[in-house]
Amino acid sequence: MPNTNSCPPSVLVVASSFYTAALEPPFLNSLGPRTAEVSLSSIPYNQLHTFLLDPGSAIPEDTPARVVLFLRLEDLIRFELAAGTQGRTAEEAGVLAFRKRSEEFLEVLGRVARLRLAVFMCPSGRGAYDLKFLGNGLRVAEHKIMAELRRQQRHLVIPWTEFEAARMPENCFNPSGDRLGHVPFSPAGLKRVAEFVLAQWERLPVTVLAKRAESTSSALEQFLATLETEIRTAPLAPEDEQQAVNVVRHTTHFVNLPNRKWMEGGIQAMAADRPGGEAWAIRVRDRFGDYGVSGAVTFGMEENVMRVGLLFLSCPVLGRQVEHAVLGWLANVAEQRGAEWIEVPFIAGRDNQVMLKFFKALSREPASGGDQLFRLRVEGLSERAVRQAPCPAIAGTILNSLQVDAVPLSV
Amino acid sequence: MTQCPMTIEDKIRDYIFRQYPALQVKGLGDLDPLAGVLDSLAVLGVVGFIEPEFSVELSASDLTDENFETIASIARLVEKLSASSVK
Repeated sequence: MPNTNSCPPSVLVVASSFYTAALEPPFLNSLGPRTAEVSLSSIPYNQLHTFLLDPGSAIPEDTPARVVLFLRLEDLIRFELAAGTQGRTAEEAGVLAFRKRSEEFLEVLGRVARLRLAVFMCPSGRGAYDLKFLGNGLRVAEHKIMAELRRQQRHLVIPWTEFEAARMPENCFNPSGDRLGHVPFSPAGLKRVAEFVLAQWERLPVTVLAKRAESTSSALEQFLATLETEIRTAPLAPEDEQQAVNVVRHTTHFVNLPNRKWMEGGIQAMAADRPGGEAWAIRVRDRFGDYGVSGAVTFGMEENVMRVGLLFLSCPVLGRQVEHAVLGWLANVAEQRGAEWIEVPFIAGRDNQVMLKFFKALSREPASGGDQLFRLRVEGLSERAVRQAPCPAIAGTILNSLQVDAVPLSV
Repeated sequence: MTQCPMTIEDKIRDYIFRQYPALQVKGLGDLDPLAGVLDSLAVLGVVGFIEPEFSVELSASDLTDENFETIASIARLVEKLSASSVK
């Protein structure tokens, strides 16, 4: 019987711990004529936890979905690796961060209730970074994750050795692409991976999400409620500038001015460009660790408008309602300073649609220039930002407990 | 008969042809624009080729449209990076 629904009758969801969009073209090519029956959806890596715990955000109810998760454990400490792990202190910090993040990932996996996954275990240590400092930590974490997946008895684990045995191309890896674009595979590798996975279509577990009762709290809500997320903001100290610059250089999803070359002093300089300009550092921590300076904002006040220069939050803190609480805080600052509007310039980049979507949902009236400048009415903005969060009660708690240090934290 | 050694441009072109065999039919000159041929992912593939091939290391700031505009501009970037790495 022909399908009368405009939606294809099944979904292939591709998620990964690295730059997921790189998997889209090879999967679409490999799907070929099947795209009439199968729609492809990809989950950005910074939304992986959110998706695993709340798959309804990407999979329509009552639609058969095959979910393939490409998991490479070193990506759990992607930012630490990019910042450098030379020297004993940095190595120890890297080991600690890896331990905490793998614990967190295991906890997320343990809470996955509605999905059946095909998990493709990608090998660590074949990308841009030397992981010797992690010792056998990688192997142990990999073992624990595979054990958890098998314990749940509804997932399929595809070990890398299976792929290797199935004519893996010689030039499969791309350390340069990993370092510069978070894409660990070469074009040939990506193509072969997609072909390999799709050749096993019948083997991939199928998820069908049934409608969930409104009153039932999701696994995501339960997880976020246990995170104990804390945000601290303080004027950006010169000592924090280097860290903030390092973070913004590696931030692609939640940043309003992507593709800029940021040099040390650049954030302070941007603030100084505006009359009465200020630069603030945003620090985030939760029970899995301290993420340190995870974002920054610069702004100046002109009459009744708070004009934002730069605003960014690093990928590891997204999806924890941090973005909603930070905007709530910024709205409160604007209100205290007598502003009626906040203006945020926005330049579209390769990956910052996450931020675009965030502001589009909040901005009822984008100013001239369309998406190039968002105008947000300050009145009620803090509440709106919180209400827009997937779990508003938790975002509200984070905002209410947000600490503002009048002096730089590192003083 | 002696064979001319491949230039940087030739090697880059050879890599691109291997990745996109269809381009071989049309040909690709040193100054032909690569816009529409190389998207951002393909650029990472080119970087993955040129770094080990020419023993250079690119930084994120080298991934500009100008540097990847043509085969000639990629070759110039390789030459610049090679020169700075031997100083």
